[in-house]
Amino acid sequence: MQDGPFPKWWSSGYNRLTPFQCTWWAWGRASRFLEENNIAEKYPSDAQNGGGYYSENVENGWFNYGKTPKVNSLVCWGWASRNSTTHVAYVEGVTDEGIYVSHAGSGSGWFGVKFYENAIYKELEPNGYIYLDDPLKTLK
Amino acid sequence: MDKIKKLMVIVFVIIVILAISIAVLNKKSEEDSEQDGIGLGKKYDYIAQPVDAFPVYYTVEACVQKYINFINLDFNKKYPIVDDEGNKYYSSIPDGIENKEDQKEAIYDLLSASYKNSNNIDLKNIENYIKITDKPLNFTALGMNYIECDGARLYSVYGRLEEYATDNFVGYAYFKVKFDVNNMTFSIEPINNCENIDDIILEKDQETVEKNDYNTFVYRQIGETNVLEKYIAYLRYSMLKYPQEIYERLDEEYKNAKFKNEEDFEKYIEERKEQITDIRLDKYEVNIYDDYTQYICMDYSGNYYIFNQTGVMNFDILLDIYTIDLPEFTEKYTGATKQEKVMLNIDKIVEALNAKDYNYIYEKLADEFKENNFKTYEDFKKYASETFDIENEITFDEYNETGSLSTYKITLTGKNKTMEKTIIIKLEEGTNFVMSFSV
Repeated sequence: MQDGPFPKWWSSGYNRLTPFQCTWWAWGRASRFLEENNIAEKYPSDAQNGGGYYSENVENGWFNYGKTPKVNSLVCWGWASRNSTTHVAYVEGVTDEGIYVSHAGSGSGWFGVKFYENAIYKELEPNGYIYLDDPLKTLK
Repeated sequence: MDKIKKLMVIVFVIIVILAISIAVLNKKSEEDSEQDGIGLGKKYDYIAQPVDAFPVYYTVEACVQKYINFINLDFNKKYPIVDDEGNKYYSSIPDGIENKEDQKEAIYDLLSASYKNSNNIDLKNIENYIKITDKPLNFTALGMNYIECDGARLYSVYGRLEEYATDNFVGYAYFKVKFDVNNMTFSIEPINNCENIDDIILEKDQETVEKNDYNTFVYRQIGETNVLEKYIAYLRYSMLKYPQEIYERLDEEYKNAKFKNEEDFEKYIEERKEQITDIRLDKYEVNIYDDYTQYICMDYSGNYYIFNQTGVMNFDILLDIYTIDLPEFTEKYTGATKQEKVMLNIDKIVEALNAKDYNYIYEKLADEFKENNFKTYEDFKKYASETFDIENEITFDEYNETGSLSTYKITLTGKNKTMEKTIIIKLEEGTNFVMSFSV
């Protein structure tokens, strides 16, 4: 289904979010993980507000969630309904020292995989993590 | 001059016709909008939908239970509480409520601003509107709709009230609940004189719900397995205590094929009381279709229960997988060989046997076979109940075809005994068949 420079999960025919926004990357990355692991066809919501991903998941009960970072989870900052900066990223790795996340933002570019030390990401006060490998219900 | 007059008359007539047409069209459009419930400036702006998110449903239920606890408080007894994890336990009176005045204040704090304002409710007259009793009650939500607007979720909910101490039925109750998801607070409004949740109109309301000592909530974290355990528990409990509720929730086609009327259904339950008491979820399968989700549940005795769900607790029920053909069965059957079709039909018969649904099997027996062996249903029921074991598993041993008849030797391994039988099946139109067997 590749219809542009990107693999299916980020191509315009599949991923309806604005390219290089945080949601565009995180939704595609999460959908790729879910499809490749036969958990779901794609991530169940393509909301445009990154911070809202966490509360939306809590309300809908799609995946287990919590405050502890885990590999293959979505990490969210900020609230959908407040005017604060919101962000969502994909957790690629976790070590004792911090977390590796892949993310994009502002419609300007993909930031690649970055390492955030524990002190830094905790200071950013994420809302929490959505554990994609632990669905709470059967998803399409 | 005449021409001008004529022209003026024609123009006037056209204007009148146009004006009348516009007026008629406007009126019709207004009426259509009223019917749809989406008219501009009409009483409500959104169409309520069944709640389909598990955490939301059971969080709203817990909020209603909290309100119920406050208005039915026995200061000498314990009452039910659902904590944030969804565990139900029984506690003494809630924190901060030590006397009747505290109780009234707590109830007041949970009531919605619009309900209080429209009725001029204050702490002095609150008992004129809210009946306060000293009998703790359990609330089980049986249906829930919602609309959503920025920062607020509005729910209509109905459920069953039972006395906590005795499980005695008290009545069905209806509420409106509002969630302010920015403040994580809720408010509630009891709805009196209501008989159908769909009659409750939810209006757009974005006013914030200010936090007080009693009105915060946390979404419950509840998974599919827990929900299906709740469905099965609801089915088990209600079949024995509220059969009419289950009868109303039966899939229409299934209900018509299986039961003559509600009395017939109650008789069916009566004959299976022991079996129903033992229903516990063992495993389940999920099929997601465009307009509903199907949960096929199996209990530890191998019996199936199907919930075709369009929202949480909003489902049609089938009590087996053989009375009517499920779409996946029909698909499998259509593509099957003759031998496979015979096997699928024998599977149905064994399902019915395990469910002690002798009537289903009797209806499938060939007329001549019935005439020679079981002239009445009662004869067959007596024979089957004395001969066959329960929880049978089937082994297909040897298959033969003679003309239109198929013969299968099978072994039934039940809970207490094993027996061999020969089944003769004649396939008919569609998925129909008739059968006989070695007596």
